[in-house]
Amino acid sequence: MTEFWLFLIAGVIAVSAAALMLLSSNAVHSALFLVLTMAAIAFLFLLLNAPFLAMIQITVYAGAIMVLFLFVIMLLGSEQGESEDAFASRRPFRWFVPVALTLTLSLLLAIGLTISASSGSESSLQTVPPQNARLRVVHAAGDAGIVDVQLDGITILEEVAFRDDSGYMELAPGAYTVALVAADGTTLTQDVSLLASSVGTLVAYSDDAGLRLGFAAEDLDTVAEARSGRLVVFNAYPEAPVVSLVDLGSEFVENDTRVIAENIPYGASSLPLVIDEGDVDWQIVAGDATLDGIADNVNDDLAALSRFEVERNSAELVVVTRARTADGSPTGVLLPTTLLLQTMARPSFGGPEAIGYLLFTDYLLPFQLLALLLLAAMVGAIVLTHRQVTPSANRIGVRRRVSRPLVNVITAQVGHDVTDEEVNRLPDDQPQAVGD
Amino acid sequence: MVQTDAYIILSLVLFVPGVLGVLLRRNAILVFMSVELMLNATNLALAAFARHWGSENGHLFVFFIITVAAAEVAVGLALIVAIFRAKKSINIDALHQMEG
Amino acid sequence: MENYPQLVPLIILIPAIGAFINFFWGMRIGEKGSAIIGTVAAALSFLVALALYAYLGSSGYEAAVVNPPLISGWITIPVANVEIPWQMRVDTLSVTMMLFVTGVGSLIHMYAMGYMHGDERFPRFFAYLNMFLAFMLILVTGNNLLMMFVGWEGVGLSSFLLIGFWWDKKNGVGWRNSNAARKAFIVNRIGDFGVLMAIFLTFWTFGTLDFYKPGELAVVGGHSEGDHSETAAGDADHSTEAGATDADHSETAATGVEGGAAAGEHSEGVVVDPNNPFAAAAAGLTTESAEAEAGVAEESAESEAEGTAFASLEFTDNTHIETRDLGIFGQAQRFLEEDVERTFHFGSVSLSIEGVLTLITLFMLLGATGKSAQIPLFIWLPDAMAGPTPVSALIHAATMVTAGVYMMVRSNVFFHDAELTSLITALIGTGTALVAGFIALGQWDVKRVLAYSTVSQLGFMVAAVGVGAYGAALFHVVTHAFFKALLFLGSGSVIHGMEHGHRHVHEHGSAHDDEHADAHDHGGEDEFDPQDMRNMGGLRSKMPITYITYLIGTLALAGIIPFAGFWSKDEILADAWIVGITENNLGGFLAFGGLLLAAGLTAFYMWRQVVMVFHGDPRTPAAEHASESGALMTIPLIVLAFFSLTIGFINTPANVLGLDGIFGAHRFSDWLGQTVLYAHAAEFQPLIAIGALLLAVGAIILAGSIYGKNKAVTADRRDPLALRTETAPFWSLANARLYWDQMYFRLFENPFNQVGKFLADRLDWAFWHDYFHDTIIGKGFNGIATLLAKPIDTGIIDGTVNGIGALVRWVSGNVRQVQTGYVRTYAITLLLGVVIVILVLLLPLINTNG
Repeated sequence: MTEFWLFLIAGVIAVSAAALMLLSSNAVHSALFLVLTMAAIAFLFLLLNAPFLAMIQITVYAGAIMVLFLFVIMLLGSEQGESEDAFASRRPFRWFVPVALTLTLSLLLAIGLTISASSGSESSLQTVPPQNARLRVVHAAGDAGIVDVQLDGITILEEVAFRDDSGYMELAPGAYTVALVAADGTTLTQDVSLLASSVGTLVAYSDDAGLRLGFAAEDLDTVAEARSGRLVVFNAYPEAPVVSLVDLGSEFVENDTRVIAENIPYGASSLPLVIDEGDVDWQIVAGDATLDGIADNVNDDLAALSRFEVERNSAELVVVTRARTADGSPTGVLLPTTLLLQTMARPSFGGPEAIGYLLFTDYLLPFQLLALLLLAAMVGAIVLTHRQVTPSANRIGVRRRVSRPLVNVITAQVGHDVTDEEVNRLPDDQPQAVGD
Repeated sequence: MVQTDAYIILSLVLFVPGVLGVLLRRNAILVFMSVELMLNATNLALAAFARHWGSENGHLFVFFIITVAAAEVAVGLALIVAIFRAKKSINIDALHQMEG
Repeated sequence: MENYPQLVPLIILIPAIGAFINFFWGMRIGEKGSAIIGTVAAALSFLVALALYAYLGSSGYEAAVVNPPLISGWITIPVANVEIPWQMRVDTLSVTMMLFVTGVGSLIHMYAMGYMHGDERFPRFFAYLNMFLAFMLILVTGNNLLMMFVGWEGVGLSSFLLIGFWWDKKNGVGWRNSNAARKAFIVNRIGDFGVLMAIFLTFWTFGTLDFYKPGELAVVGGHSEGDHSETAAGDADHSTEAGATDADHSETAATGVEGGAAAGEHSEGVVVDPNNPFAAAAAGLTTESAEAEAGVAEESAESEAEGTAFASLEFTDNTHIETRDLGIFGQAQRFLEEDVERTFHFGSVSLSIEGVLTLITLFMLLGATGKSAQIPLFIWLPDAMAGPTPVSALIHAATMVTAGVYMMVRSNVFFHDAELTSLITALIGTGTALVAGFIALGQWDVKRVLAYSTVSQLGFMVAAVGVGAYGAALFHVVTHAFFKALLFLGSGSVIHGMEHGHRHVHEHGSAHDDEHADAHDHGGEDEFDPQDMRNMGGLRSKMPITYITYLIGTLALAGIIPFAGFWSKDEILADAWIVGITENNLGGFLAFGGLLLAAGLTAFYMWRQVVMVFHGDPRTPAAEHASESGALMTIPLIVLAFFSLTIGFINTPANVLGLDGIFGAHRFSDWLGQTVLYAHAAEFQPLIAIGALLLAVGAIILAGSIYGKNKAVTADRRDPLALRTETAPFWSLANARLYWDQMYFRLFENPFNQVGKFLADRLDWAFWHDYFHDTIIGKGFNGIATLLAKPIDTGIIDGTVNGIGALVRWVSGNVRQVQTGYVRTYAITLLLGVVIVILVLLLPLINTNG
């Protein structure tokens, strides 16, 4: 409710300032009212979760542009630019004011009617539309060949090999059927239900019975606390019913062992973990990792996350699975291994980081064009305001006028006018008079 | 959370003084300021839509509009200065040499 | 000296430059300057010809083909495989032509300096003369038929310009002159058609127009037969020394054949007939190729050993050259030697090689009848005497008219194997000699007699070609060039003297002619005709140098031993006789008989002329006061007279009065034989020679008895022959030129005129112009145009366009009101649009949800 009141106050300020700008006869006043409007709009930007735009609004608009306006108004002395009243009916434009008002009002009416008419419907602006979900597929079955991935019967990926992942696909929320088609034609299907703005990974793993599919829920939102990343562990190792992620600590320090995540069952994932950035030296061990058992089963570790770097704003998915040695040849021994799938976390909405990211990816070309436009505008402004400077007549012959008084100086020092003979009798160390 | 349509209505209400300023004022600088007001109203609508759809593209467009507006103001004010030099007036009704 | 052939472009370039200078700056440099430039240009080209002669002498008669710089690729169409280079050929035939063309030409230039003195277009005359020389030299130096044709047309053009040189004379004389020029030009076009057809056929058949390709030998084995030359650098393995002493040339050839038979088995089965020089030459050809196969390397080594610097002498025949790389004559020979019967297709017509050659040579013969003034196209030449006398001498006696003979001699390979053409050629030549000789009997004009004489002598040459005596034909060309030029120049001198006398009489007022007009110009614009022999007589004492030289020319033309004409005419007669006897050739017999008769006629009409002009008493005051011409005119006469006396000795036959001991035997024929494959020296026939001589002397005596002792012209200015009833019809026929021109007028000109008149009056004017153009096209066009213009154009089209324009104007005039220029109106319009769009977008939502 506070937000609504803030919105209302800011809106009223903006509208009334705009109206005053329109009605004020003094241009300086108009400009100041416009500044006020812009400030109110900047505040509304903040309410709209757009802090970066709010800052730009203040600096560029209220700061730069309006100062420029004021500067020009002052420069031209056009505070009272309109000699007669704005609404005075001049003969040729007697029809003008009513027509303009009619048009504007019709515009207002049309849009307002549309908005009010659409309330309650699907396209209503009063309800927030559901956000898309993100889904990716990872091939983590070390003893299976390449597979094709089908979504609702439509092949979306072909020939996905071990350790490959599809990257995130944006999907509307809802129920989907994902199917894996192996090279020999066997098909594994799995129903997936995607919630709005959820993020998850479908992990394809295998045990002796064949291919399986598991879903690991992830969270890509930027953590509120900076300097931390997120980690999800998925257990796809058939021979361990449960696995745990433990920090064994230093060899030289007693009782510093701690469990990061425990009892991750086969075919399931841990919750998204928030971990401070920095290098860690963790182990993934099989079994129920009670603190006592860990010490006993140190040698049972399936895989080690040694010197594992947790990066800021990153989201890590660790899949514990098995792969054949000898580079995955079919005859190799199946050994436990880990797949590390790292993605960037999503930056916060409306922040400078998000906008900068978009500017340098999707909008790079318009950004460049905009830069060119600004350059052209700069040049244009300079050219338009450049005054044709004609060399002043005073500057012509400046040397002569500078030189001439030197004679006077000398005359003053000598006491009388310098004659030609005296010029010839100048001392030898002053061979010539230095003029300018 | 304030609904998006409220912002749209507000943006529309802000847009109207801009339109009227362009149409009715005779001071060229004020006409320009009205244009800026219209642009701001549009910016507000774009930001509201961006929040509504959860996409930052709207913010990008606001960013671009602000930049273009800056360029436009630079050139426009330069034009006004040039016109003022030539005619000693910035009354736009005095400028109708282009009539057919 | 081996670089001398590179000079050959100069022989064309120098007269061309002379013509250029005289043409454009002649008036500025004046009469003397342009005369000197023209004459020096001719003399310089004569020097070049001499240098080329020296080259041939030193190189063992090896022909040279020269690619002049800048225009080497003349006509080249790579796609169609057409390549006609501008190549110039230096061989014995072309050098012979060059020598007498430039030599006689130089003398005529010099003569013209005096003759044309005072003419207002003097430089132009020399420009034309030089141009003529340049084209004539292109004609003779070209190594392909197309170049020859360029020269052929060029001399035709020059002749047109020169014949009509006095086109601006008054009293209709200029009209007559230009008509004569046109006649010459048009008649020659008919001949040129033949030449063009021959060129096309040749190109179609052989794919080239080159006479001989560079490196190709014109006469295979020519070096072994070149033993009579002064170089005498014969190959060691040929019986050169034997040939030098042996008088019988067929034996020489036979010896060569035997040597060849010893060298290689290729000559097996070749039947050698010592009496048949043609077969002997062919056999020699075969044996030479056999020898070449036997040892080319050996021969090249020998040629090095001789110290001659001509490396291209490695091959003594053309067997190493592909057929398609040979020139037209080489290819023709190959085709003739082949066993397979080859056919050539011309559209739907297929011909064997003999047929093709017959066709080509017939077309060439047509060309020759035009240029060399034979039946039926000879009628232009007598009219061409309208030109100034040096022109008559240069073009119509000495050089241009020999072009046809030159072409036929050049193409002797074709003619030799085209027997039908040869027969026709012999008949045409003989007929022309007889007809022209006969007509000459009845002429009064001093130059016209000579013109018909020229036609008659050209008939001798053509008949010689017809009987295969190519060497003799060219020999007669050479000798005739000298004595006919002499006679023409002499007649010019006479005319000059007569005019001088006429002017003298007129100025001194002692004239008995009261119809005299001003006669300061040449050619006479009054009724006194200085060329009419009836006005002459008794000039012997007035013009002694002219008389003597003219007498020499007359004797040479009449064929009196030892003047030049005797030797050449006798060789033609002997050749005709031999051909008739040895080959049972009808053409040979006819030619022999006809030419013998023509020789008699020649002697008769020439003596008639001499008597009329020089003997007896002067018949007019003009003749009485005639005086000798200046040195510029008499010196050429003397020089030419000297050559008319001596030039015959270049080809004296063997075993005649021991002359061959002094001058050598058949030197000209052998020299020519280096190039002309079928040139051969005829055996001297004493009986024929004596018979012809007796005939000529008898004709002279007869003419003397008829015309001598002041009986040349009767009192009423008629010929003595016309008075006697038994000779009067013949004389009338001769005087009327056998009605030849009238016949052409009836046959061609009149029908042509009638048809033309009909076409012009009826078809063109009445039907085409009056009816079709005026009535149908003109009125119809006007009607349609009026229809289109009035209702359609102005009404519909203009109305539409104007309406559209007015509409646009109206609409825009209203619409422009929208553009107020006020920002606020634009803004509110924009707002209106926005509201409408938003309403359109939102109203459905309101409906569905509400």
